[in-house]
Amino acid sequence: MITRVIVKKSTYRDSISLMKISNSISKLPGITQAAVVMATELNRRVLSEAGFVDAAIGRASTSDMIVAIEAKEASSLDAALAETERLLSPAEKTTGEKAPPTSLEEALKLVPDANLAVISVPGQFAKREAMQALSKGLNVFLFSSNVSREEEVELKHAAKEKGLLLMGPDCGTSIVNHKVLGFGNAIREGTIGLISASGTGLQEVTTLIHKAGLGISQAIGTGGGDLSEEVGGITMIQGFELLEEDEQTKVIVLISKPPSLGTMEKVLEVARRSRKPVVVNFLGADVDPSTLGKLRQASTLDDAARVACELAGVKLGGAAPVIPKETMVIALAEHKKLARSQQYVRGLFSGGTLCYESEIVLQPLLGEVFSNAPIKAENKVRGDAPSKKHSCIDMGAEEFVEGRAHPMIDFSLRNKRILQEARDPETAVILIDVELGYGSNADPAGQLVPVIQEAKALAKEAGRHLSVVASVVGTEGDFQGLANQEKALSEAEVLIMPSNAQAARVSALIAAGEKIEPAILGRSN
Amino acid sequence: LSNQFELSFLEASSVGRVAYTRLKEGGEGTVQGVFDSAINILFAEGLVCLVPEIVQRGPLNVTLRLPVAPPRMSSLGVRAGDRVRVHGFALELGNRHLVSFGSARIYSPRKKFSLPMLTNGEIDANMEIMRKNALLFGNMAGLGELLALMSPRTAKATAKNLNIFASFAFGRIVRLEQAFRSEKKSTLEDAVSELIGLGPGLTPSSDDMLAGLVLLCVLYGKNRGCAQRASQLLAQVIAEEARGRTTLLSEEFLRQAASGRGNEPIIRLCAALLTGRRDSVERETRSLLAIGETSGTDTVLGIVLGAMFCTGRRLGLIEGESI
Repeated sequence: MITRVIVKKSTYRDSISLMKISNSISKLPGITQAAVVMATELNRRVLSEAGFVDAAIGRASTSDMIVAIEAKEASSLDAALAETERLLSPAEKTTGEKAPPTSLEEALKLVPDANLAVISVPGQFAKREAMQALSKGLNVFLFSSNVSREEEVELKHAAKEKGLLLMGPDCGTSIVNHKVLGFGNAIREGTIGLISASGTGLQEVTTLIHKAGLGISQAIGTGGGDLSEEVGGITMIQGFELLEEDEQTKVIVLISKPPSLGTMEKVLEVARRSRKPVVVNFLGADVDPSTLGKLRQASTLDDAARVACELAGVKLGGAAPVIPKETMVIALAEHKKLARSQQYVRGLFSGGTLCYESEIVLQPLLGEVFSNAPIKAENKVRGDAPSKKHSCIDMGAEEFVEGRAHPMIDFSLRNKRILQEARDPETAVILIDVELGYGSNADPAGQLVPVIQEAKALAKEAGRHLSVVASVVGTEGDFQGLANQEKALSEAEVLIMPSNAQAARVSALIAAGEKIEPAILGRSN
Repeated sequence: LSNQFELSFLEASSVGRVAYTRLKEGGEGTVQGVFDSAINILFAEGLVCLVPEIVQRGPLNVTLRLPVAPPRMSSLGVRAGDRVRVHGFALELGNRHLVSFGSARIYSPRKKFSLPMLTNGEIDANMEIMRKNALLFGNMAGLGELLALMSPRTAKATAKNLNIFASFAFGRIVRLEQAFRSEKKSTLEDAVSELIGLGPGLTPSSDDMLAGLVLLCVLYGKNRGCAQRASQLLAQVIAEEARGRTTLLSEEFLRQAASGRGNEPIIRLCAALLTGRRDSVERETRSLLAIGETSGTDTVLGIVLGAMFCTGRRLGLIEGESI
């Protein structure tokens, strides 16, 4: 073994950076030990006792940082040192000479011909910044949440008066002129235009369209509050009018969780006048079929993708809301492996709409589904409370993200919850969603696989078999690599389903077995 | 000022009592470190930390409403070594920002809680809730693994696989408890000096643990109405021993904790533990666990240890000497 110690004089990094660097270096090939710590007296002593003997350690003071690496051979050590330097350097840049622009004016000086501003500031500042952008003639993608409904109405009226589009607030995803804003995936160019009040809903439908070989013209996010009574669907209607005039768009898809009744009628009225075929997917909304006219209604997100593709001229097989026979066989075989106590589906979602859609799919099949974001108010439970019967938990809800990154990026809380569910003798199936694409974690499968393996081992030790079912929202163009991600999950014995709704149906089948009448699994409204 | 420089204005929503005293002295300081969660400024009287509101209030903290999301201090373009000047109720930061604290509220946490103290048995039950939540949701890369040693069910398996820092600290915490019960200053000095500055992080894990421990001991005494001699000695020793043995930030935190002061999430958890119900203990534990990388978990460990020291419950790791 060879060791190397480097002392960085008067160098500070926050704890998160120090731990990340230590972990990254420790995992490099040929490295047996690595520590990046502040040079306190005791840390120096611990390093000495761990075999790091170097005079520089003795000379270091408490404001210095020590990098200590032990490797099997010199080449590994050199590689690790180079990697350490690289990992230490980006933080320098963030405080270096070229500071990023700190105001809209500064940003506009850098890109004077910009026509769209992406705004992501704390809610209390969002209106001010968005108004400023609108006054400069910029369309706005407003990622910020915690903007009041009154401010949203004011902003959207101001945008409409200027002929500009205000996507948001709380807008997670848009794909404008094939540029992804917020979270989103690499989607082929095509003829289907979408407008959505749901970020993960938009990701799910666009990726399914892509997987079917088709593509999109535009995907406009409106923000979750757009279809409320107060806002009245201003952005959805504006977006609809834009797509109606857009020559590239041949089919239009509308996506939302249940809108308010008045707004739904207003949006449907506009849609009914369209010259183009329109698919309406208002998840869980009570739409009177007689009011639809020529509009096509879809009950789930995969159904919306399927109908849109059909209208665009391609019959879609993969995402049809019917469980193929071979999947049924696998699911029923999983069911037979369950212990008597294992009865319930436990859904743990990073996508809020995917959580909601799963409840919509599971409830008719299994009965009551409890959630921190329930379909019915009486089924509301606290997200951080132990699961109750069939449960779907939105891990992206406010109670989980305060002070943390979104679960599409930071898997720590969901991973802990997976282990918690695995310890529960009543858990039959853990149902999860995995989002790839811009903004998401660089390696979701890498985050999940060790935990899923541990969860399955925990259940096995207790004499149970734990099923894990997932759907992966992504395309082969996403930087994480769809095939790699699905392969890694499959190797950890995760059942991968082509869509979120299908994953929910299969989970229900595994948990309830023959008790579920197979025929209803494929029935759409 | 705004005519002299192209400064952007930032508004502070709160100023910790200690930070306020240091800023009121006026004068110049230097940016010591720039991190996502803080800009630390060194004045002649000590450190002041500019933090986004999400970090919450603390004795050394000036909380800022940041017009960027995620609210990262590192995105402000300030550099280590930049000069800082205080003018009245404003702070000029690296010729780029003017931070006004004129309308900020002073944060000075109450050491005496509004609700009556629970019995030692009830505190014991709350402590168990904290411990289990920390094991479930905490980060075990620092000393958090030691929480598992307090349960006979998990102790053996954990003891075999402790990380290097937890393994090093294990016996020293046992000696700290013995020193606490001995009520001898010299024994406490030896025990504390064997722990200060140990572990990963800008505030090393052991320091976070000691800060939680001493803060709980001080607050327990204040609220019981009869400070234990051992707690008073521990606070005195930690404040003295911290000097020069650890990072400057950690030294400051330890000295504040020994005086019964701490950041808001830590104080709230101590209050929940000593006076609250199960749901508030759970909520505040989770909130503290979310702080830093290992800091939250290490602090929870310290608070659990502090409660054990004060209520007289012996450490599981001593009882289970067979492990």
